[in-house]
Amino acid sequence: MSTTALNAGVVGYGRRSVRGIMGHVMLALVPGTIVYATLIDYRIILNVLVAIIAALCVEAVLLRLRQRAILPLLCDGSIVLAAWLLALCVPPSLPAWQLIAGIVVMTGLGKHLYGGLGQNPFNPAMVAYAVLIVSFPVTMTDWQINVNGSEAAYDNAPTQLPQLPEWDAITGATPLDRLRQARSIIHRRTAPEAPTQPGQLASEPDTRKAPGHATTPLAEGSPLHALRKDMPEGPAAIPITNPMAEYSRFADAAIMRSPWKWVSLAWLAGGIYLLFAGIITWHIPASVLLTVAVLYLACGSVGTVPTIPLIPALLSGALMIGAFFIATDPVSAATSNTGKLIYGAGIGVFTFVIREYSVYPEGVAFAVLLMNICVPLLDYLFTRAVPTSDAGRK
Amino acid sequence: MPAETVMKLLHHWWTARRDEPVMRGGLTLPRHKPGLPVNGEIATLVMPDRLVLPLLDYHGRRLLPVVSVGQRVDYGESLAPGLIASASGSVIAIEPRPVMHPSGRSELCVVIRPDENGTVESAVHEAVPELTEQRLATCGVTGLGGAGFDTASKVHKATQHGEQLDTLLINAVECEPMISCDESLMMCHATEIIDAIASLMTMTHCKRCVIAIENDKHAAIAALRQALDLRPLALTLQPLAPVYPAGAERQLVERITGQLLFAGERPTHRGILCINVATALAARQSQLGFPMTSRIVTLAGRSVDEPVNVRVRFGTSVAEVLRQTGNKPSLASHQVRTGGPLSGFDLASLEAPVTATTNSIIVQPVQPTVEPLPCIRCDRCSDVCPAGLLPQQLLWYARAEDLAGSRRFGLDSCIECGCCDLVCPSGISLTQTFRHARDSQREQRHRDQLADAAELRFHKREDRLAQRQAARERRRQDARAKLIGDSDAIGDALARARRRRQRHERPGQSGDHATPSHDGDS
Repeated sequence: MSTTALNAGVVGYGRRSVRGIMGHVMLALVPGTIVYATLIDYRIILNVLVAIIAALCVEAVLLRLRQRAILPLLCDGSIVLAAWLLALCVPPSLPAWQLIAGIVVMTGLGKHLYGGLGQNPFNPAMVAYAVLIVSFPVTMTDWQINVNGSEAAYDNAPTQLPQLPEWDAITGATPLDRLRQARSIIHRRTAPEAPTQPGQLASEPDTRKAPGHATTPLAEGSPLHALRKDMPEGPAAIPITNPMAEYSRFADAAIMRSPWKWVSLAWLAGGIYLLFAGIITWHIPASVLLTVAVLYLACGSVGTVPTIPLIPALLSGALMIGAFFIATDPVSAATSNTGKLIYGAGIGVFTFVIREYSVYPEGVAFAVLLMNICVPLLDYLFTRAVPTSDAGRK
Repeated sequence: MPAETVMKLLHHWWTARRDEPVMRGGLTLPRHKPGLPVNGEIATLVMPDRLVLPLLDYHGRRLLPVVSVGQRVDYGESLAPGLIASASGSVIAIEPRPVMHPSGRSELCVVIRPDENGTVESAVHEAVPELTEQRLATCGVTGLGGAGFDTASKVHKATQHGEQLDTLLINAVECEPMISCDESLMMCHATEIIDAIASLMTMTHCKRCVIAIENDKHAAIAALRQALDLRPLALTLQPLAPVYPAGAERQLVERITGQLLFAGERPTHRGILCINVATALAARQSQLGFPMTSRIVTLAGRSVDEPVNVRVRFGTSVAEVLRQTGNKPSLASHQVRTGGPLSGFDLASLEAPVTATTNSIIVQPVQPTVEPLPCIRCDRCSDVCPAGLLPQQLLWYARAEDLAGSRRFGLDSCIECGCCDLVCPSGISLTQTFRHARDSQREQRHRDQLADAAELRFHKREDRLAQRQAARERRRQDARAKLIGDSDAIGDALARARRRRQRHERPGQSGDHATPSHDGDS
């Protein structure tokens, strides 16, 4: 029985191939990668190349072991894209062997263990990221960023919070790391005089603007990292009069003055390109960003927790690349529109919770993995309500 | 020139926004309608020397022939219930022949050798002033759209629904690329079509009547408008943005009336009669006394030099159609597809005869098969699915032959339009998988029915045996009762005998006693 559809070209329809889709996503990653390399650290280019080459080799070996056709599956672009994303998520200073170990985990555990392309329940890059961060917590959170000439600019950013001078000691920490330190300092200094805060906050209009805090590229400080940086000696005795407002202002400065915001904006631009090219739909990025925004705003209006203003909150950390490039991985995301909205909202909530209440400064990777777990349920529940029964209609 | 194009596009977009009901899903494909008539005439094929008429109804059920081999049949004469002779001639065989089916299977067919003079389509019945279901049935009118439903019973069902038919929907949306038989018909026979719609409106007493047509069929719309000017009717001519598969019945009903049909539900259940424009014309012809014995077939495809629409008598083989139009494809090097490039199927034999549902014959060079990649759940299929399904999810269940899961994800609502196949970046044949799943579901249902029937039969037999047993038992009881009655008689007899003996004994008592004593003595 030969009932396959005629070649799409016969009816004049330009079909998109898997390779084409992956190609578009990679194209959308280019501006962000260039901005990253220019403003933050040029070594990211090397990392991306190493990751891609390693991934192609590992993929070829695994395909061979699984006795699959190597060339067509190697050329579908999926593994290149995943490797690229992983390289963007880890610190540029990560030793190459650790990165390659991550690639092996990504390709083997994340992808082929489940049956290869299209079968993996978890985002392979995020699986590798999670494995790396628990295996190599130090190198994975030590953002020793090469000074591309701009370090001074953003290291000086926190000057508005004069009580926290010790940040200069840490070279190249991401804004989220800095915020985490700031928070712990504020916390330590204000804890004894906590009762005075609510009143002060109420009279402080600034605090109403901003909820939440911190962002960084996917990779974030491990507990060790945070503790290590957390212990400024400095003028710890000087009390901070309005810690919440100070924190907000500091966060604003730390993020908006750091070059990371340009990287985030470049991811956003790439994401918008993907939306217009019809590669992704608006559901997941919109619900991720909206949920995070709402949570930070709500947090800010409560006024008792240190929060980041809205715009810096959205531009911080891995939120943009996560919302547009990682959460939208179609294989491991929910597939119905309702499911996508819930999936995105879940990622937003987990990102916020992990950032604010866990030992990790950034939570996108774990949020994506946590929501990946929920996908089978979401896919089962939301089938699109098509009336499938005519029972009782006749 | 570009400004003009831009204005045209803007106008298109604007009208599409403003007036036209939108459809969910679907694909906007470039208009590709080769073979439209140029001089207002549609050519007719020369009568072939054999006509093969499959003894099948639209469900694929076999029909019992009422003619026999060697018999002479007249044009329009009934060969089987619902099947009429498309030419007068003699029945030379009733035997299995390949029919239009993806599997190329053979079914019992009536083979007619047409007479020399039996080739003209003529009126064989009296014209009637008003169309009746009876007349539709007599003239063998069936749907010329896709499914080939029996029009008489369709009309019957629709008009039974309420006192009045809610909507008469004339389907002039020929959405599939490359098929232009209905469009040709409208371009050449607009006046007759309007007359036909008038007849149907009178017959069904419909509350409203809508002609749905794609807005890029400019010539056809103009012709219909002109015909409507000559004979004004209380109907709406509804142009629609050309989206494939806008012409699918359920999708059209949803778009025009806003009513979403349940899976398995027909428009007739809601008092909507959806009739293809060519079927409407055939109905009108039946009113005038002409049986439905031919249809227009589009011949197109990359391997067809001159695409054309021709009128083909039912029973003409595909090979004959191709031969008469100057094409000589072979199945080794060409794909010959019927039913449309997207929703149709490839023929396994060119000997298959043209029937009411053969809207097109599309010949393409054979394409190399490409191994599909795995599904990456890119959602493109669910974006274009006109039934609003999630084909990427359905695929999992259909492949796993999980019928319950497949139903949950709407297998029953799939209209097999092929949109998902067309957009799939991995090149997966989703529609084929769904078709297969539906077939196995149907088979399963059939098996279930058989099993149910067997169970019923078994229980009936059990009951019957039990009844028989009971009856036997009853008879035995009766016999026994009779026997007991009889044994009373025996008892009586015995008693009588005893009494008699006693009577005998009394006189000869000594004798009786004497014998033992006598024995004892001895």
